[in-house]
Amino acid sequence: MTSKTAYANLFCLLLTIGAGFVNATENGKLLGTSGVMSVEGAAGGGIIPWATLNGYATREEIGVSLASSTAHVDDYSLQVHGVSINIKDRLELSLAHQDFYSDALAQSIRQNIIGLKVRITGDLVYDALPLISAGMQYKTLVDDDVAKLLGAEDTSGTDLYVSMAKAWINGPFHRTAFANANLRYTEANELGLLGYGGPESNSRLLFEAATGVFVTKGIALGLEYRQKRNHLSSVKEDSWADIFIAWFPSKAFSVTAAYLDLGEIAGQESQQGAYLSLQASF
Amino acid sequence: MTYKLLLIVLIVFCSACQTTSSTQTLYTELGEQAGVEKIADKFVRLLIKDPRTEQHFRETNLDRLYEKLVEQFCQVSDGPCEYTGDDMVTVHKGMNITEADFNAVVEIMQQALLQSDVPLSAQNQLLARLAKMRKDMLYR
Repeated sequence: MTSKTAYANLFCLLLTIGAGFVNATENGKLLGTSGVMSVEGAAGGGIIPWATLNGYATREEIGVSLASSTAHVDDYSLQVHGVSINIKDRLELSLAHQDFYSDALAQSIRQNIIGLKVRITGDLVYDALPLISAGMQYKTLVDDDVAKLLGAEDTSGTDLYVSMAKAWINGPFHRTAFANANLRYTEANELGLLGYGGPESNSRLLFEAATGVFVTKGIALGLEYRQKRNHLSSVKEDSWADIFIAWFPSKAFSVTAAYLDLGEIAGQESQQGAYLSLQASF
Repeated sequence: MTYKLLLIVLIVFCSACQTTSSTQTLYTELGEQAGVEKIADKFVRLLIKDPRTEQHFRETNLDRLYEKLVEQFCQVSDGPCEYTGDDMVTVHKGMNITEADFNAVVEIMQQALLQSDVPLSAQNQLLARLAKMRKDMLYR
């Protein structure tokens, strides 16, 4: 990591913590029900988006969220900084900047993601039917030489997804529980960090899921799964999974930690490690 | 790795489903009459103090509110009472309660339950039952 990006990370971290102290006003939703900002900027868990929208805005409100996340696995690291706005619990607009670093190449691959998610129908907590949302993510590589070298067709791409989520106030063990499932269309190789498309003609329709439980009012434990398939023939790509703990001391601030199992990435096998994400919402 | 984790979760969820059918009523878990009275008392005190809700209760007969809440919490938790108040649609007509207003009341209820030393499992059971009334209360 260069000192420049280290300073940028520190700045964003301070901004995130600082914003956490701003008095939250537009926060009509219940604690924890927005989830946290995922690595692509959309509200979700860590590695996948969920049907929830970032922040705590209800249909009369507007909410803003900031998040700073870092993942360290055996041979790579990823820094993500994101900002998003939730307009009246209907529309989520997000911007995320990813900085992926390969230890072997001693090189950074940066990517920007513009995200849009629309809540189509339903309420996560109160409706019998699930909350249903649809989203898109327009991703552009800033550093595209690795993608080109590996045989990717494009250096930018658009993901489309539909997402369903449901929470049960009185779930198993009389604890509040939730589940989420997504169907995603994507041409991205490793989130797009290794470009878009390639010679392999595998299906581009992928499944993603998450489930969890609030062990206390402000602490959730859960799992996520993200299916992935090879489009490149030069390197293999595996599905991802994580096990997470999220702590919501207040609606203004949350901390998420996870254990990641990302499989093989760009020729390096069995990538496992830790994830940490801080979020402020106001 | 992934499948193992999913399997563990499934097993835990299924065993949880089997243990939920207990003979004890929620009313007992809340501490029976004294318990629901304590909850209703804390709830009313918090409702009239909280800046998000106090304006809705300025004209309210608080003794009657308390009495009807005790009946409602008792009946909803399978206690030996009958709720004798007006239905939820009538009570909330003209108040134009928003989603945020409703959730503020839920948070205040959580606080009242916490102050009444109700365990989280009983809190969630009661909240889940009361949450069914939401559709009769919003935007009336």
